[in-house]
Amino acid sequence: MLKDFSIAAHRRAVQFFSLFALHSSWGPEIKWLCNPVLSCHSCALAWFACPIGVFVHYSGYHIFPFLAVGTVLLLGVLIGRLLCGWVCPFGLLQDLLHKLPGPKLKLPSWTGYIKYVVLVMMVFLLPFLFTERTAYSFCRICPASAIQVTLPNLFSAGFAGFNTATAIKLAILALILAAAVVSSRSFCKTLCPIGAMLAPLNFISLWKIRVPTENCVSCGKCETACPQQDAAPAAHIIQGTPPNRDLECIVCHECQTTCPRPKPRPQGSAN
Amino acid sequence: MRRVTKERIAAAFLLSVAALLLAVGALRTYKVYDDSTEEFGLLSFTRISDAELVVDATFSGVEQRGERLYSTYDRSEPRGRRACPT
Repeated sequence: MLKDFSIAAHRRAVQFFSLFALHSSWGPEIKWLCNPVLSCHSCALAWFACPIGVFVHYSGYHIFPFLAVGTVLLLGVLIGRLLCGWVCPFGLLQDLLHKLPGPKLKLPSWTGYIKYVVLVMMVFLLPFLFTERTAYSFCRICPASAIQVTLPNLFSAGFAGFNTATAIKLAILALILAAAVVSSRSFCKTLCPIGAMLAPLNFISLWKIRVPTENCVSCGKCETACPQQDAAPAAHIIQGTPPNRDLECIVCHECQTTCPRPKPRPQGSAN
Repeated sequence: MRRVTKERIAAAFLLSVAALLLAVGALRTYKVYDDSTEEFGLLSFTRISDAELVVDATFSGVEQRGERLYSTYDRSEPRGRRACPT
């Protein structure tokens, strides 16, 4: 029954729909509302505000962002990192890039902690100390901003505004895109400050991936299917906890879809 | 106490915090000064809500100078779509 209902089978469709839905504004805006996915609010077609851009500016203003934090916290508690796996346009881009042929590798586990340093330093601390216009804020290196704003502006101006900061931003974008080909969702794992904000809320979010843990035969298919290589869904399934109770899980439900869900083995049978 | 119970208590607590933050955000207002219309040595200001400040934050509509927020555009004019200069 559950096997027939595979929500993950529709994930790509939801990702593409979200890409167009989030960037389809013909004029009206809902920018008082932060949508916690990596999408720049300076994009001419954006509907929502980016929480990172808002936090950078509020840090520069020395004001606590009540609405923005409240929105991110509310969504994080309700659905954890579900938006990372299903809605984030930059996540979709990385998913598609990783399908390109080439060498694939797994990043060391410790790299998953870099994003917390990025969040604290480049979103809160440095803008707080040096104002939101600092060259060291996350917005200055944001790959989504580079694709949605920097590149279109450069082309429309005939590369008139090209300078060192632009070159650095585009070089970082190129590195991040190349890394996504080699390592699945490497940006999400190592650098994304939105992921860093939402990750701890995975542990208590009301959204749970339900896998019939009593039927696990340790086939490892969920580990292979997981786009976040350090999320280790099999370990959670064996422990009897939902696989999305992990900092790195993007709640894509691939483990749930891949699980063969075998019927319980008869008592006394070997293995 | 079971793990699931602890998770639910933590989730309920954080949902309450989120609701509180949203409520405070809905009520909070900020003075935004307009430095172009100084009259008789007095600064004129507009009170804007947290939601309006979020919108301003998306295109650097205000900037901090000292303890005050100053508007970077004429608030009496229609704003239109603007991109963040940062």
